[in-house]
Amino acid sequence: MRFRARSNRPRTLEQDLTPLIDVVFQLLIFFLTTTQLAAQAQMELDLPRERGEQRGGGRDPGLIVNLTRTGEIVILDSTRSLQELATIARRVRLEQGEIRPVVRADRGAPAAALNALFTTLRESGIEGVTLAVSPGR
Amino acid sequence: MIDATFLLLCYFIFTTAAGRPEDRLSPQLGGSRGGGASDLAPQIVEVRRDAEGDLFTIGTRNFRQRDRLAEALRELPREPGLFVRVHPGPPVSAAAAAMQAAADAGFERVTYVPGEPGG
Repeated sequence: MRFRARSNRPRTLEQDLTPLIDVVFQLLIFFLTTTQLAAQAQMELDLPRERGEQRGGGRDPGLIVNLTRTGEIVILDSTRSLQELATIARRVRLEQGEIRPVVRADRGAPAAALNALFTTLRESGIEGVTLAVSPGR
Repeated sequence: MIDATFLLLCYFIFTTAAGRPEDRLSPQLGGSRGGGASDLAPQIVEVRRDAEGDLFTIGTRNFRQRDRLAEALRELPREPGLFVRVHPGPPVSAAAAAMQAAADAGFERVTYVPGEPGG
């Protein structure tokens, strides 16, 4: 019986790092993308084309209300009535204290709808809002 | 490696397309009677719409263009703040234009007042 002579070379365990790097990259990209998406997860609206106050970012608004061109109120992808808006605003205010909601209103929406929205927010105890604009001119 | 590069490429393409900047205007909310009898010498911009389009009024002076409105607002004192009363006729863009004119004129305290129908 012949046995192969043992090699004198030291045995090293070589690990292939490629899958690890792949997974790390994938995770990194996933978190980067989801973070970005969370920030951009907002309704497609043609906002008023104004420069705004150019003061930089503010604090957490607590509530984001969208107003469509047809005057519908949309919060988190659900259409809401003024009564529902009042309920939501009161609840958020109760949970978070003083809030300054962001109102994203389509530039072509009737001001009457914006008036009704602002009146409802005011009657819910909210003293100020942030009106989103798109610096376009 | 190709996987990662491709995904990075997708990420940057997507975020470039999706990341449109937004800015803001920050009015206080006033009641429909804001700027009325209880306020001392209120400075009010009325925003209406007529047959010719959006109309901005300060007292007896009428303006069609936002730039002219901003020029007129610069003549007013800043301390009392400014009321922007928006009547039901115009679109949101006219209300935003009035508030932008106020911001351009240096008013830090702007109060949005919903106008009453027919007012």
